[in-house]
Amino acid sequence: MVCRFNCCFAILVLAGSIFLSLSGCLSYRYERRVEGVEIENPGSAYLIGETTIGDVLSSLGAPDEVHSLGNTDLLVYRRSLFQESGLSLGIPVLEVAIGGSVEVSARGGLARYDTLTFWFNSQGTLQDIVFEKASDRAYLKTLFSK
Amino acid sequence: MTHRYLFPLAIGFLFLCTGCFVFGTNKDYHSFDPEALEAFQPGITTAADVSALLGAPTGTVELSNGNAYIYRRSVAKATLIWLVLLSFANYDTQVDQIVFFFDKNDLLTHYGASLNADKAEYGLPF
Repeated sequence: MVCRFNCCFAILVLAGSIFLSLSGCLSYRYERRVEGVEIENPGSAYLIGETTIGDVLSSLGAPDEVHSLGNTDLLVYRRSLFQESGLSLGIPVLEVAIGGSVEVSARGGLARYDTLTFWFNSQGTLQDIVFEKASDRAYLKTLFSK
Repeated sequence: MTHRYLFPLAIGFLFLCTGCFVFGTNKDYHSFDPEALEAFQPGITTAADVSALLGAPTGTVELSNGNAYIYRRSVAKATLIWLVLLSFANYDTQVDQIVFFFDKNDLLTHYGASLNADKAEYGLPF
């Protein structure tokens, strides 16, 4: 009975020691960065040839970016989502013992952008509109796709 | 029998939860006065009026039929959690932005405002 208790205690101590040794050596990190507010699908709210810059500004507010391409002006509404995860395993004790260390790490980051872009002619009338919601794509599936 | 392992398991769980939490805020910010925005009248306000009231724009863009002045303020909030084997980080950045459109005579034609900086939040990354 005493031996069984001691064995269990020894196993716990051993497991704890291994765990303590690994802490700081083995680590998993996950990071998420969001910039901007949600961008909704505009559907048929804006009509090419009819909608003006003023209409878009009054309904969506200030764009995140403004660009000019010759006689065409672009208003861009954007939200970015960046996710990164990483796993690393290092044995720093070896640096003391053999003067070198072993570290294995894997890391993957993925940035996705929800973008709503309006093209206007020099009279300020809508010429084209493009919407893409990339944040709907699954993180891991997109990360590991070729 | 079960109770014997409860204490070491509880200690182990508590050990896993040791770490630290960090909350941080990064402000490139002083708020726009909503009442000041009402003073801007398309067809009357000039680029000089806007600059006099809001200062130098964050950016300018030359457009096909005039110019755009961009005023941008941002607030970023970060939540960081370090546990024994795990670490998590969440950053949320939101902006207040006003874009003024001027014709070739520097008269205001339109402007749009998005005031979302106060929507930046602390939180977990999942």
